[in-house]
Amino acid sequence: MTNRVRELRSERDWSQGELGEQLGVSRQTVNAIETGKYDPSLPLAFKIAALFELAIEEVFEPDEKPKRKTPATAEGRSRR
Amino acid sequence: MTSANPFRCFQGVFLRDAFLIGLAIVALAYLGRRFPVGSGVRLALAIVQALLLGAIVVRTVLSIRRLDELLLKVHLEGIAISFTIFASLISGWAMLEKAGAPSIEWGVWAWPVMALLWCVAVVIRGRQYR
Repeated sequence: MTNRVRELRSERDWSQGELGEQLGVSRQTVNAIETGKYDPSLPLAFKIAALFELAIEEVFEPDEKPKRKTPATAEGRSRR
Repeated sequence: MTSANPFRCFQGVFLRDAFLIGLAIVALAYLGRRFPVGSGVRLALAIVQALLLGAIVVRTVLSIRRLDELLLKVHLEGIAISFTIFASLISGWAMLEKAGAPSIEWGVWAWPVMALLWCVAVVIRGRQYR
């Protein structure tokens, strides 16, 4: 998963510590999220998105977008 | 902001409580020696010791739960790793004992050995997220 946390934090001129304080997590956790070493839990991801006043998908993005089954494909499979 | 030190949950009040509980366990062990093995008093003292060990467990779990989600993950992985290594160590040593190696009283050594393994595992796993 990739994210824009570092970019969004820099725009607001916050340090990792200040962001961590607002989220209730350690500076190490903020750093690990920014560097992609740690993917936050869903509640923390929502909290981060809410703090930046963005939708969660505007902050976090999966490495590979999940492939959706088209209705035609799903129908075709059910016939088999 | 919470501190990035993964062991911060084991500072201050926890250390004091753990020290006092440990002291009480040792004092009870010495007190118990004054009574014959199998006597009611000695058994009661042993039960109190076991309950105090339980208190350390509860205190430890409550301390860990105060950590943020990443540090909690690091600790839980540390516990899992140390548990596996410790279990292997006990089994391995049991085989060595049968082959003539000196006997180790794991009832005494379990806590320090497992705590040490836990600390090492937390430090190693914690580095991955720096």
